[in-house]
Amino acid sequence: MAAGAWTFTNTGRTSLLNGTFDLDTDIFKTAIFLSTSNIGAASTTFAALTNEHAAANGYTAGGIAVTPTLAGTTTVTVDLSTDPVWSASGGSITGRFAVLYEVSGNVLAYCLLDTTPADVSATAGNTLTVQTAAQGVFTLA
Amino acid sequence: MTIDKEIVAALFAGIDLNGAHAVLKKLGLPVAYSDEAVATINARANELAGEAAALKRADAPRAERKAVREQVDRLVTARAVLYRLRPAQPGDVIATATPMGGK
Repeated sequence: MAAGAWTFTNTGRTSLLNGTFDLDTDIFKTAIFLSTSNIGAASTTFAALTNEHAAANGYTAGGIAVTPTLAGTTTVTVDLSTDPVWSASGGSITGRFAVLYEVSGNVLAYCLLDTTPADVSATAGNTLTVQTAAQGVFTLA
Repeated sequence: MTIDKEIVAALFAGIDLNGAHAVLKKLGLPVAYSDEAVATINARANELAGEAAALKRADAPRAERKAVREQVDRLVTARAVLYRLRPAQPGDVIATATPMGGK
């Protein structure tokens, strides 16, 4: 399934450059949001986002921990050590966006789970994986 | 359920097996996938995330914060290991996000 490209929020971009984010030390999470969410380029803190997936069917509020990694020298690639996966149980996990954010902090980036745009849904007994492409989340060269 | 290291090695391709195996054992988790095992990992990672956020608010030394992050790294690896042990099933959804600005 073709998800969109990761997109920085404006605050996320600034947070990278002013040192608010320490990518290989801070704790980050990925969370799932509904089509009705206010997530967008102007989003700031995770706490200000609306319409996260309900804490049900195998989804926990706030999403799950992921760990950004840094690799390279002249070109540094930021990737996630492992992709976040949710197992749907007792019902479906359905979402429109994945959001990458610092715990108790700002949103770094977000993406559509289906570029149509459309919701994606994992039914009970199945998993929903937000897979980072082989080239990572972003690079700085 | 116990799975031989060789079988696990074949499943992992790319994840450091000894490290991953050790993590699962240290956590007291079975070397097999279960929703409960994953939930245990996620709950502990959430606790650590809270601790890390508190340390950052308190301007704790980077080394101290990094130590907490390393614990989360190990948990995240352990979770990935468990998912590798879960056979893929029809209906599993993989949404592949391209890099920033990529296609």
